[in-house]
Amino acid sequence: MSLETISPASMDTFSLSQPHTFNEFAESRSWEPGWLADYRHDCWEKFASLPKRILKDERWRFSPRTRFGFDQISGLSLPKESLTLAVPSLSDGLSIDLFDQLLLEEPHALTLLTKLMGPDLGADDYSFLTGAFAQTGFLLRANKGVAGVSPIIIEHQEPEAGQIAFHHNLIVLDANTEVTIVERFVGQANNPGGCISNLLKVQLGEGARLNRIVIQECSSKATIVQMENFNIGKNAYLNSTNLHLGGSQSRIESKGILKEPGAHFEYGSVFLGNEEQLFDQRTIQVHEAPHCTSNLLCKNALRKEAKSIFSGLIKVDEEAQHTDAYQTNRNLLLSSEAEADSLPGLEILANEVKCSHGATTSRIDPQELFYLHSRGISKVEAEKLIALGFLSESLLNIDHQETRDTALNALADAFSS
Amino acid sequence: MNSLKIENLQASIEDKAILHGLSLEIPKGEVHAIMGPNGSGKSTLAKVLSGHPSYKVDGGSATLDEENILGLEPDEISRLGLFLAFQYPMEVPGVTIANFIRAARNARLPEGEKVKAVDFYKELYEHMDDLGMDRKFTARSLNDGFSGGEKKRCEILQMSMLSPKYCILDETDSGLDIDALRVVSEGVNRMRNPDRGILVITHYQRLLEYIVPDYVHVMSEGKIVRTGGKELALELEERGYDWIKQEAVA
Repeated sequence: MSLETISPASMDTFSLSQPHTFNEFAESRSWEPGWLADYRHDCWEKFASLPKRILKDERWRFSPRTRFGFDQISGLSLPKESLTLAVPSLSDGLSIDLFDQLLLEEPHALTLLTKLMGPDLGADDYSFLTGAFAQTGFLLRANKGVAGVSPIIIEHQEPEAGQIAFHHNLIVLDANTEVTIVERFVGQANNPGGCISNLLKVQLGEGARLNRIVIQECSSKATIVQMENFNIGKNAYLNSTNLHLGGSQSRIESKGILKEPGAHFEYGSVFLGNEEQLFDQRTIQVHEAPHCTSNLLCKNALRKEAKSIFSGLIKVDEEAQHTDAYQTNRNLLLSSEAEADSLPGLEILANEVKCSHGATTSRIDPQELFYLHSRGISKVEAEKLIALGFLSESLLNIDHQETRDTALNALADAFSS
Repeated sequence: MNSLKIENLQASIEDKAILHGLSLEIPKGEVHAIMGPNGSGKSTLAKVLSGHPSYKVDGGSATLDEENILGLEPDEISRLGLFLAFQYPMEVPGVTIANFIRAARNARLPEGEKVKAVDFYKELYEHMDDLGMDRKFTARSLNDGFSGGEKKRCEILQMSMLSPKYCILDETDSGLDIDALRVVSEGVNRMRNPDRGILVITHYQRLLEYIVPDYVHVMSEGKIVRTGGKELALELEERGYDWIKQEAVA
């Protein structure tokens, strides 16, 4: 058995759309268990049979999809550099491992990866390719009753230009556990412009609590595709707070499924766009069980020619009586060329529910600006203060102070650049 | 001479002339009050002097210690030493009081320099204590969800922290109950000193019982039509504004 992985150089004609690319990759992974080989093959087949182009694909409405193409990709990133962990001393029963290591030591632990779904909100190509090609990812597990005190830091590295990193990740928290993780997406300094395709599957048992903070500071040339599917069990609580700063184009697909009574899903996202950045976000809150709550707040502030798309749906099944579900998207345009599209939606089949959705797009109020300006603060600084104030709301809710400061500082730095 | 000096000031908004040649001088060390009916141009005067972009200056001059302020950006005017306490302070969600005032203080320092956090908070807390403001307010968003009294206290807090050479208080008494009025007035009175000129704009005489002015000016139709001592305010209270208006017309 060998840990040798396929290197970009070993494939002269690497192309994600060519079967030989997958076949050569599969051959190089022939030491993997059969179930995983089958899964990879199955994912590849599904990818290969996707229609080349769907006209009027609602799931990509307003999005210049060509910016997420594979033409520029000529190789896979090296998994060892692609994902790293900074793990505090963990309580017994709490563990985090890398996918490639587990494959050697405890492969059956990964079988759940192949069983849980992705969010399926449109980026099928990325989702299937991640299933087919992922060589790394993390698996976080907490046994019943275990609580982690310090946050676990996970670092996803932007690959070099022309390369793609596929990360396939899993979090499984048993009953009455509590864990905080910070996922950082870090920029490539030497040769920026790579692509990260990150697929995360989460399963929370009864009463489990997961606090997840994402800080994305990739280079301004990177392509980022984040797909995440949260399965939230009875009385479980999931909070995902996301700060998106880098990337030339980002596609974010987040699905929270409230599977059993008492589940809560809290989702906050902040994007500061600059230059020609594209931020394409699709969310869905699926209420499958009664007495669940979900709350989503997505804020975008856009400078220069940045563009954001928010498409969010609250879906309440017939059985999901006494649902409380909220969805808010607020956009602040800081230039006349910036653009924000918003597609909020509700699909409610139960009759005893409290649901609301709202979307606003506005510019800085000139009276607000004058107020700050009249205190001696320059116009540029005043706009910055107002925009930071607008965006920081969600970040102020991060419990862990160090992480909160990191996020707020990253945001302030991004604004100064 | 050290004064806020306004001569023959004419200004308009959206082609509607509001100030028709207003002249007024507030030397350092004095407190002047402008009273006048609604629509006489009191708030316009405050906004024009502080550089509000919606107003257009059509003529005249305004100087701060002999330095022109007309046509300057609001932040430049502020840094020259003019402070306007707003009638309706804006709510700015997400910008905390502490960060806001600190940004204003930093803007007064040479490029690259910043106020020291420890000294800043010490000073801020002292002023907040004087104004009876809970220290927790520092972390609250600027005016966001504040009561009328809290907003006006916050204006006076900013004024104290920025220690301007000249202050204009635009209807600071509006929306205040008697307790808040007293606290706010005490705050203003603490700032009276020989190096500072203060202009109080008000519709009612009541505020002037707390902030006793050296001079009272009456404004009507965009001009100062009468000037007197503090007793003029009492006369106005008694007789209303109509007689002034009639005199002005006659």
